[in-house]
Amino acid sequence: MITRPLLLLLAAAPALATAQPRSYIEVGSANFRPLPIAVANLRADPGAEGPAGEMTEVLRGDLRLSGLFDVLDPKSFLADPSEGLTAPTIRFARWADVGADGLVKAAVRRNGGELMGDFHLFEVRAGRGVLDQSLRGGPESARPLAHQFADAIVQYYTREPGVFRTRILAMRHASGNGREIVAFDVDGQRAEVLYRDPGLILLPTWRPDGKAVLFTSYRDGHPELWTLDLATRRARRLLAIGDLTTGGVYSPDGRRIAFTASANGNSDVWVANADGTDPRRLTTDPAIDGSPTWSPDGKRLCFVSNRAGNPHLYVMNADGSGQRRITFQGSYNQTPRWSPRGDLIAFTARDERKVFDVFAISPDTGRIQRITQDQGRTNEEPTWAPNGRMLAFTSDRKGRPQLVVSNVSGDRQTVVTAEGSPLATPAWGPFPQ
Amino acid sequence: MSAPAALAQSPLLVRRERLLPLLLVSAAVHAALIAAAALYRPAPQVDLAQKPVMVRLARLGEKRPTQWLPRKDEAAPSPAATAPQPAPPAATPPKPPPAVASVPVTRPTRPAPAPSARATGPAAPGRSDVLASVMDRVRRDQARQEKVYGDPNGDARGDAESSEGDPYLGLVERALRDSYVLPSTLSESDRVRLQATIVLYLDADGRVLRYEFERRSGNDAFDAALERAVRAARIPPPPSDRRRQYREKGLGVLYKP
Repeated sequence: MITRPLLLLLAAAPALATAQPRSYIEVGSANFRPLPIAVANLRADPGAEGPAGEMTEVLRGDLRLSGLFDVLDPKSFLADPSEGLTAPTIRFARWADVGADGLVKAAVRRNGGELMGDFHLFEVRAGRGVLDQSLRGGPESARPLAHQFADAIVQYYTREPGVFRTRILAMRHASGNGREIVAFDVDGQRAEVLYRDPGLILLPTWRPDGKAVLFTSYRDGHPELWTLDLATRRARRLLAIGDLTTGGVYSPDGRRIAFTASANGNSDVWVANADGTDPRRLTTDPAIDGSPTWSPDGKRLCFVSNRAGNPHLYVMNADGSGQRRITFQGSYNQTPRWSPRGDLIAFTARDERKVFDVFAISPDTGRIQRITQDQGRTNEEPTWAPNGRMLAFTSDRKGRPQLVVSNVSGDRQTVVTAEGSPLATPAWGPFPQ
Repeated sequence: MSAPAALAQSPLLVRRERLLPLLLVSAAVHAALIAAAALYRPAPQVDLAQKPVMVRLARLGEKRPTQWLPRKDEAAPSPAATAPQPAPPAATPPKPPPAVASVPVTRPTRPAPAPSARATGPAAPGRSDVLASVMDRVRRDQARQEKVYGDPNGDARGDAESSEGDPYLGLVERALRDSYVLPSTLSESDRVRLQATIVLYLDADGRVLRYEFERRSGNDAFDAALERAVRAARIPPPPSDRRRQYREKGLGVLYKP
């Protein structure tokens, strides 16, 4: 009778021994760096060599532009170019030897009138495939397909959508007279004229659904708000108040617009319904107020006012209450754009050398960070990518103002356009729907 | 019925042969509880309010007026970085392996950039001063790297002059840190705030059989980077006396940026 419990205890002894607590270690000092990624030359079936080469360059360009990746120089590749496209047929050690953490491979072929691509992403260290996509499109769809897989790669690594299928609008002089609204791919390619006007038009902004553009037109001699339906390419007057109505921006839910208007000779910030009805003035200061931008939750607006003597940024609630100044450095701060992430407001400022540069301010802390410096005389009119991780602006660093795409810290900037005519007032579009 | 009478009729006293085993079991349970309490080591406490101390030493110079806009400390990006796309990368030398060179597969390539840098030799007449100064710096860095101080009994994979704490866990920490790469676009506030705990279950060769988040950071990009770091890590085989522990109970890893 006595031995039975003792035997039970002995049987439980090993379990008690393994019941020791789990050990914990702490790992810090992360390596913050762009992920080294290799994009092998896309393999092409006969007849698809051209699109394959173009897709290879687009993929490399997109990944480089994202700021997330360090795209390895193909000249350094050690792997056999005829290597396979599946994990068992890839010698990952060869890719690890050139420092690649990620590896992109694809095969492109034509099937009738279609272009088809089988895209693969591998994690080199793990030696396995992590993303496979078979994409197809029209005969001229090499660029869109490459952008689509670049977005998938960004999504895989960041769990956030990529922006390479979005487009950036900009204004430029039309050949002959007038101006035109042009849409570019994020890498500055595939310029497409969306609207041409014989007069002066400026300040285009996207409707959040990406199906319409709001812009300012001088067609009737003074600035008014017009909309452009992108499906029909038809423009119509939306709103005109007093002798000046300009700089319209849609609220994030697309139901309202904020704009600058001068009803009695004094420029103020106004809001109205998206169809132009029920306009209401939000600022009443005798100073010049304008250039509104919405916070991503639609509850606040940032605007420019010279009520302190020089143009500075101010923030207020969407009903006009709680107006407060947020910039106290610089003497000419303008063109604010609130980040879709809400944490920063990008703006143009003139520094003490009379050079215009792009900055960003945290509306909560007031801390200003510089994005451009010593890169031309004028870097201005920033606009945010819909994921809030990149921005675009115009810069004269290479002569005439062209489009620059940058990461938020400004340490990765790329001039993406080489247009003959200067570009102005860029507007980065929403995610495709 | 009086209390002593009730006690006398208790089933335990009436059937005394049952009393001893119950007492033994009770004593064993108590002993186990006391042993567990003595051996219990709580998981590391996570202090969310803890923030890194930023240290900066002001350079000698005139104070910049506070009303002026800030300037960047670092130099502007090189012209190559602003080249139009899709400009092919300039004729740059082969990219050196990243900081994770301690992983065996990348180690053979580590010296690769050195011979090419050395092959260029001292600054030739007519070469720009900038290039010459860069080459000098590269040579100085190489000279520094050639001399490595350590312990005569140390490990080839170690990275400190002297050991501290459990040697095996030190190697694990090193292996995990080597593969610990976060996207450079992670915001500054996230770099201060984020942390997550992952439990790794290891086999006898140090391979990660499986892993699970004991606590996620709440940031998908950070958590995804940790998963990649865990999958990419090459952990050395655990000591024989701990194989069972790491296979069954796992090893907890608290990741902080």
